Amino acid sequence: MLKSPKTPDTHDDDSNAGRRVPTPHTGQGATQIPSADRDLTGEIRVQQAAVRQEVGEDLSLRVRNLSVYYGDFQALDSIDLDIAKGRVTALIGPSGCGKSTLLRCFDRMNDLVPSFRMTGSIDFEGEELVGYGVDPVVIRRRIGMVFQKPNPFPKSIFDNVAFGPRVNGYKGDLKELIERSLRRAALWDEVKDDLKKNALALSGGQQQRLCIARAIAVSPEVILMDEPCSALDPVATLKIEDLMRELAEEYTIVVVTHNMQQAARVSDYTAFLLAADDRTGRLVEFAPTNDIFTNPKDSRTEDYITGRYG
Amino acid sequence: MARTLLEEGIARLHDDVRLLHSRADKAITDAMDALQRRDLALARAVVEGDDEINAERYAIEERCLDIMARQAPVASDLREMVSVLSIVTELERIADHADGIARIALFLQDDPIASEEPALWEMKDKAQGMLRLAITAFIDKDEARARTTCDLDDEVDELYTAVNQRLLRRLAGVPHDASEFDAVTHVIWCSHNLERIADRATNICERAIFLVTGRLTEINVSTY
Repeated sequence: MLKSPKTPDTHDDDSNAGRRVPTPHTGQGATQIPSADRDLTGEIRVQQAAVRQEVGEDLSLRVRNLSVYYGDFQALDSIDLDIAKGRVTALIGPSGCGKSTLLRCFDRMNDLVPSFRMTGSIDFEGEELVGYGVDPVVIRRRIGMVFQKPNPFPKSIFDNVAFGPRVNGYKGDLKELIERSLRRAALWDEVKDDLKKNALALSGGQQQRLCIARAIAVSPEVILMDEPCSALDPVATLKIEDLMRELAEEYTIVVVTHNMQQAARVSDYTAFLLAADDRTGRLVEFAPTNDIFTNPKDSRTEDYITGRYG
Repeated sequence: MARTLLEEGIARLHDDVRLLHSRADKAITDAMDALQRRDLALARAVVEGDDEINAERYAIEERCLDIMARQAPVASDLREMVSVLSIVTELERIADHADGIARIALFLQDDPIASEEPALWEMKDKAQGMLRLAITAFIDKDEARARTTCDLDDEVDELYTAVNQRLLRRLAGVPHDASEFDAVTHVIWCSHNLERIADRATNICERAIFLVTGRLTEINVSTY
């Protein structure tokens, strides 16, 4: 790992020796991190070690030293994060902290953004997601995404769920797969009598559950959810939250949410990200959700979750 | 984001706790004064005043619930709510101990037996002192003060042991149906009430420590 160039404020002493810093794209960024963050990074490592211990080696995604750049702008700095398999992990933080950027790194959704670049490592079941050695199409079959706004195709309910399996050349009983996926997404009973109906005729909450059914129809290992309930009413929101808990029995779920109570309700682990004055997002605290919401270690986490941020 | 409503609510709860504490503290003072001076009217006032303290405790709990339901506190705010709920219960029970002492004063009537035990007033002063320190530690979020206050419980326990041994020795040879037997056992109950007040002060200290650290720990387990 390359060291950052020295600046008058940054001494490469022992306390800093263990810290992995990326080669800054623009000659700034890493060297500007205030020393408080440096200590904090050490603290976060300790926290993560604890988590790894608790869930054993059963990790779905292992993020190490991940930095993300959009041209000259560094969006994320040196993220270390463990996503436990079969658990719900919530990413929280104020707007612009990089939580959605981080989520999109997992299924390479940023690839088409011009000037996007990431360094570091994301280990997904032994496969490295950072770099050119991955086929995003294969990865997206294994890591599904549900977006903020329900985005069903303007097709029938059946065709929406069948889309992925058909593209993948599914050889089994398609009808059975559709029913199973819709049941898993807690939508079957509401739509079973009219699978030919256009998906756009469904309510917002139903559309979002359809998108979840569509995502799970290709049997992914991980489901990423980017603000999945922000366009839904409270009843539909609670349905999706119930569903997330149920799905966590089979899938690993990573959810980005602005709704801290949602993170508190559904997740097993919570990661809090925050952008400093340089607008670069960093991981402030990562811990079991119960700890984050009853006794956060970092005062910035406390300020954010208690609503005293900003 | 400001949390004006939440912060005002918490400040109000702190005032509530202080007020409930001063009521409980006055009940202890009055009950012990009644015992010393054989002032039965004052003892009756303590017994009658206990209902008000109970009602105030429920009112504070309602205000806590209201804040929890409407402001959804988390982290230290949530610990604040849980601590207040626990502390008002302790204060209400402390007032029950004062009520118990007042009832003993009513039982003893003009018997000076209790006032001949100066250690009881030493216990009372120490227990009240601990209680004051415990409430201050909670309001000020002062973990160190909470811990040192708990240490004082040992002194109350020592006095309790000494008073009881003396009184139990006195009981030896006294026939069970003698009025002296009842009087002495009631004085033992009085020292027990004071000892329990000190224990409950340490419980309040535990809540102050929980508020600061987020850890629920029993410190200085009483020998009684």
